[in-house]
Amino acid sequence: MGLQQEFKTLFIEHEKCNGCRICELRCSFAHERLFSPELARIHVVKWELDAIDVPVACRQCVDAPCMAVCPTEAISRHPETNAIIVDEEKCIGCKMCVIACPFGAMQMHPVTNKAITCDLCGGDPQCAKYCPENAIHYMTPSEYVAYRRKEKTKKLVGKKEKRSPIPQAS
Amino acid sequence: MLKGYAGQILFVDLTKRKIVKEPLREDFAKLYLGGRGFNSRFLFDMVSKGIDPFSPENIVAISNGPLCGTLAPSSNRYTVTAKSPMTHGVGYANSGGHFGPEMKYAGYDTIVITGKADEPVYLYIDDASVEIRSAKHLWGKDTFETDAMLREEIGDEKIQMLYIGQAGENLVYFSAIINNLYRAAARTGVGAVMGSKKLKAIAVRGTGYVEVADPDKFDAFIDQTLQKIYDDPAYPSLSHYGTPFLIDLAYLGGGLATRNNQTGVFEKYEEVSAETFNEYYRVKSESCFSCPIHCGKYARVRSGKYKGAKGGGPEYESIVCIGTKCGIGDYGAIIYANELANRYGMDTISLGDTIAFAMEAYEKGILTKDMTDGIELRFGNDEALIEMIKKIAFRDGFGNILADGTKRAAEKINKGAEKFALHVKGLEPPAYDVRTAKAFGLGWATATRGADHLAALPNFELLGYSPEKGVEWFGSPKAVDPYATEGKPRMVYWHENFGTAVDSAEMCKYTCFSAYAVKPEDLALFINYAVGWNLTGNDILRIGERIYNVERLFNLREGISKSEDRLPDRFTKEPLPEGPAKGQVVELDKMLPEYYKLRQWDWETGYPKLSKLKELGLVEDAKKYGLYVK
Repeated sequence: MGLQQEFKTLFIEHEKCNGCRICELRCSFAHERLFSPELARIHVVKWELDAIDVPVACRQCVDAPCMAVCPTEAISRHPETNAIIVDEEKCIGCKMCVIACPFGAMQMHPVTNKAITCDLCGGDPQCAKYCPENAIHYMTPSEYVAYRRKEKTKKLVGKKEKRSPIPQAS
Repeated sequence: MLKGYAGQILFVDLTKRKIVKEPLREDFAKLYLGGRGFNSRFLFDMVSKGIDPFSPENIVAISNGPLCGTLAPSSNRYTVTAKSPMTHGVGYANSGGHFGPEMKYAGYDTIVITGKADEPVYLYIDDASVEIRSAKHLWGKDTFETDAMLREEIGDEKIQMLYIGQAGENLVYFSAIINNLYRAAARTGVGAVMGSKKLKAIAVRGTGYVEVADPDKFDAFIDQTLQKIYDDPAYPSLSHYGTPFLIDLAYLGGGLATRNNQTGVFEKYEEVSAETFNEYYRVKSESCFSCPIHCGKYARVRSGKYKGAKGGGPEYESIVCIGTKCGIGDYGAIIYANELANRYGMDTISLGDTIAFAMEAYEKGILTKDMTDGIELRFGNDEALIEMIKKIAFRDGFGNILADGTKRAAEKINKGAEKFALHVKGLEPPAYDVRTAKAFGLGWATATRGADHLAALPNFELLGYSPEKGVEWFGSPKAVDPYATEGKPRMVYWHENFGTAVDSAEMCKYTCFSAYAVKPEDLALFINYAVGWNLTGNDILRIGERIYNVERLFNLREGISKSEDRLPDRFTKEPLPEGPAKGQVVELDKMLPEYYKLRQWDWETGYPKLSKLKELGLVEDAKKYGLYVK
């Protein structure tokens, strides 16, 4: 038996992100069937002068400040994915959760004016599925840590991807 | 409302400071699709015959496409169109990045700028709100400074902008419009036309959305297409190395344009190879909106004379035109020169070519030091290159002569310089030496905007396909041999028609033409699922052909006759002197007549035949100016 119950969440390697914003469109399409970065729950913050791109999304905090400050108990955990869920009926649009979130991941829906955030697409997050650079991982913390350790030690054993600039006919 | 489209066209008259919005008509959209197609039609209808490209009567039309802002792979582009100061014919340029989708989310398929402001202005579009604002404080600033100042002033990190640098303000003929700092709608001098209107920038913020007609089918078709893109043998090259991988391809074919195309073999090839770029200069990829390929690169110079230079690119075209064509094999100098071109806002192809032309004139003794402001304008002199770029941007001294482009500079310099002044219709040629790729050669001659590799982009001849595939697609086993001429007229005809439709849908040609992951019938499906139409692959080709002929009619009307469907003698009469392609020239005479036949253009006059015009619905337009034969 394990020491604790772990939940999967999004782990983003921003150094891999090239800023294509496919994650934003996948998110809005998954939730609204519309293509609109404005309606996405994940946002790529861009620093173009230095070519730095940082996707920002809900961290699914263990001690979630949004949940703690919500005056109407509209924020809860999904029983299976453990994702932060906002109950649209209970939400009064006070934006306390927006203020409380340390990452700017909690936002207001521009049409309904209720709080929205990443719900992990019910356990199949589309941003992670479609990121062309595999910069977004849907893993448990231990899985991600193991992955990172392995990635970072690849260099030590000289594992380098074989590449050629000339297209190799298939 | 029409799905897929934003549904609205914005007209801005800078003289009268009048802003008008009109709904997009479905019949118009069905005929011209979007992007380049919309723009070319507006150009033909709104610009009267014979105007000066820098007069208020010229227009600057900016359009995205019906797929822009969606997840259809790499459909983020926008096209800018104006009567070109370089060719005096149709001028257009397109660019990726993030501007096109933002403009769509703000609610516009097209922005048409007319007139001329009495003082520098910029346009600020915040969804439905459109303002003409003073840009006095921005005039004289480079693109990076303009980007930072507008960001600060508007106070919204999410705005997207396009802008000109000092070159556009100073009416340097080959000025570009830049967006996202490093992306350029570069060719044909659209930046100079923007400058002539005293329009420094357009900043846009869009909080809307794009809705497609059949989301489920659209989504499933994206999955299918993505698989094809990822399976493409060119995908790893393009995605990791970016367009610099083409340096290696050109080298292998003996067509790495060197010293104003005097040879296709560059002795410092290794210093500009894709692997050198990858190993020492590449920092990371930087992608356009909604693109799975990520061919754009970000580079940094870590040591040497140009240490500290950084930024987007350089692309293959820039490496060749400001590098090898000028005899320069130092990525440090190329990256720095590229950064300057982005900051001042200039087309690296025309810029590099014009300097390479001047270098040849200097080496031949036609130009002397006292004529070049004391600059030793020899091939391989990187300091001379940098100095000339600055002088051109500010039209300073000898830079004032080169700022008008190769054709006009040669006319001024005279003394036989025209012989090696490389241009088609007044526009300088791109990187690939077409003596090693004959379909590309034909494509340069027939492109509506002058020497242009992208009008046709007949990659088919370079991809190592089997002779059987050559027969299947273009009726000749030799169609797959880049040195052969057989099958090439059909190849160019098909690629130009399809490419024009792709440019009008504003999908990136790298998705459609790198391994043909999107063919006409596929583009039709994307558009059908997005808009709700029932187009076929043939409809797509016909739309492309219609737009191509509108551009042709515009050029004919402006006096660009059949005799200008040609190539400079260097490519048709001077064989490559060495290397794998030694002895090759472009046998244009073998290809052009067949091409005309396929286009149903009259061999004597170059005018379209009435039967073709009927098929395309352009009879009235041609009759109005007497530009047809029976």
